[in-house]
Amino acid sequence: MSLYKDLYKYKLTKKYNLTKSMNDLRRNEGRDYSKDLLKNSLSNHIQRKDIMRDFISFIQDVFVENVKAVTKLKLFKAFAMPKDYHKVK
Amino acid sequence: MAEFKFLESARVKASDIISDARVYISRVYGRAGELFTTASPFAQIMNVVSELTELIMFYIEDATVEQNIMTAQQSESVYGLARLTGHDPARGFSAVGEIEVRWKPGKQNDVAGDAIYIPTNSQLRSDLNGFTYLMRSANDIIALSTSEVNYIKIPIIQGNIESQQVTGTGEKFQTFNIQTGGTTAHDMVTIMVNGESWRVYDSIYDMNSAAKGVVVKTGVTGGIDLFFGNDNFGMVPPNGSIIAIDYIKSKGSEGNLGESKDVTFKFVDFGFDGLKSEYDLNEFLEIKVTSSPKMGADPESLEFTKLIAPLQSKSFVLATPENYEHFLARYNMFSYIDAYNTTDDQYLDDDNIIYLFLLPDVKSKLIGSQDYFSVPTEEFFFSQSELGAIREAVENSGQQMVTTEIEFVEPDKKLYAMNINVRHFEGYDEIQLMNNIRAKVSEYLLKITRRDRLPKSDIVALIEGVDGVDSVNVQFISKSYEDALRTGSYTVTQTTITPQSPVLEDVGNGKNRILFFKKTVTSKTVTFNADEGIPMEVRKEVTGLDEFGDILLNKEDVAMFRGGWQDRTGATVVDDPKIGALSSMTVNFSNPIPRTVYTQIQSANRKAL
Repeated sequence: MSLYKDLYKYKLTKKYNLTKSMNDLRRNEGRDYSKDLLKNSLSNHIQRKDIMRDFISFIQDVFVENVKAVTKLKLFKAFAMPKDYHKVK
Repeated sequence: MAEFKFLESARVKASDIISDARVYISRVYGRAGELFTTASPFAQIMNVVSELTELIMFYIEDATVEQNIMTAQQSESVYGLARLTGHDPARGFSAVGEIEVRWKPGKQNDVAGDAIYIPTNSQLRSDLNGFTYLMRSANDIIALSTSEVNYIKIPIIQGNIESQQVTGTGEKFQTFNIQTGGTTAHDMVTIMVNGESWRVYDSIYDMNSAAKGVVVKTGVTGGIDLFFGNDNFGMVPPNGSIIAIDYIKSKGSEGNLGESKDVTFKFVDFGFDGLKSEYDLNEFLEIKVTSSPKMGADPESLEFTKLIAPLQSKSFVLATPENYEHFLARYNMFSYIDAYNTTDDQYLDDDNIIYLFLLPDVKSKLIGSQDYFSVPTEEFFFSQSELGAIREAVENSGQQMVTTEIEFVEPDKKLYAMNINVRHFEGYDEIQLMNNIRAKVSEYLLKITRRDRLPKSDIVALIEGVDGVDSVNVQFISKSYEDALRTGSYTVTQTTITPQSPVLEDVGNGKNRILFFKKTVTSKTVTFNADEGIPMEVRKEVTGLDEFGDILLNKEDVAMFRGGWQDRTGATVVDDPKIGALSSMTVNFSNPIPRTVYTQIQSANRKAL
């Protein structure tokens, strides 16, 4: 059985949602930290093994979700914005 | 700020948890101290996780503090919360002006075809400040015919156009937040849906069901927000449609250029002829500046937003004086705005007129080492062209109620001088003291905003704070009083209003109005006996000073401490402040007093009070 079977479901995006931004050309959005928030803070030496790298990746996803939660808090007063919109600095 | 840190870590400290975890790992692997370092993956991950957790806690605290307009520190938060009250915080305004261009002699013969074409929004660069300005036109192209011998007028605006694009979802009430970054021109946002221009409205309710419109407001989370309709009020952008947003990134007030003759521009972009060949416009055309760029303003200050947000009118109409004050205050270029009408007097013919008494923010006009006493006096007032630009901004807003008109009240310049008598401690240089006093008084006079009176005790309090000053006394001298004493006479004016048969009066701009009342202003010169002085009943009016010697100001008065007039003896008051000589600010130093231990203690005690 593959190590990754049935994992990362939480990362799936609805295809319908993708069409909502297919023509987007946005500026001033800030840096996308979601793929390297934790990885950039840790030594490459300890990330040389796949298992450790995957383990760090899972922890990283938890933190990315936490940061997104803060964005939701910021968006709380923006009554007309979709609540899952996270491209706010 | 410390008082906003409400998440106390006193109960459980992150460092305690980390410390315990490290002890646990050490015990499991039998490694401790120098053998269990951050080189270990466990230790390193723990440290980074700890740091990130603390950061996230900080972000949560920050995000929560920023939800309250009184505690918020970031401009995006204050603007966003102000939006919830209906106030649309100004994101800045680009300076606007006008140039004229025409062919350089004989150059039209070097162009193929019958005209040279300049795309709208082509860039110019100011030689004075190096900023970019855009040539505007209602059409896509500005054409200058080779047979044209006269100048053609082209409006210009400071800034650069930036574009973004979002995708329509086909849903009702689509809302988009566009992060713009920096100052943008508040009223210069254009929206295209699938290449077709949609009109910007102030409110969803202004749109009918077939209106291709959008509401653009300062973003609740920064930048700008776009709100589309629901097919009952405004059309819905179709699913998958391309919504293009163009706005002007501006330098705000830095884009304003004075009326000086040094204002010159150079073309940055090329023009082209009928064969699409490119031409350096600088070689073919000459530019004359007919109206130098003005009315540029920075985004409104956070203090102002916090103050004005609760006062926002929901009607989006310029009808009452308060609406006008609110509208103009967003331009951030006034030190004082008083809008008023005269509905409470007996003269009914001007009850639809909003009188605007406006004074510029002189502080923002200072160049180099200029201060209150050295800045040219014309900078204290708006020029006719600046007033014209303000009128245009009001009219172009589309918010002015049809029946109302605006009239600018001409400020009445009242000249004063001040005598300052200072006793100082030994060891202080009088010229240095004079410079310090001048700096303090200049700062005060540039910042003053009250319009009823100007108390001399303010000046006394300021100068007492200057290091080395022991005692101070201030006296204001008014030009009108000195004129009366010198000539032995004074002038009083009286306004009378009487009903009359209606007459049609030309009020300019091609407009007429019917007057039902006659307003008569009469001036009378009265001579008085020098021994008896000016009668008590008119003394305040003539002298401009009250019984305390403080300056009294009428609604349209502007007190200015400047020279260029004569006192009662015929001596001329000069502009530049002097020590011991008649001037706009005369400082007289008496003999210094010894600086003993007791005077030093007393001085320190006074400051500590």
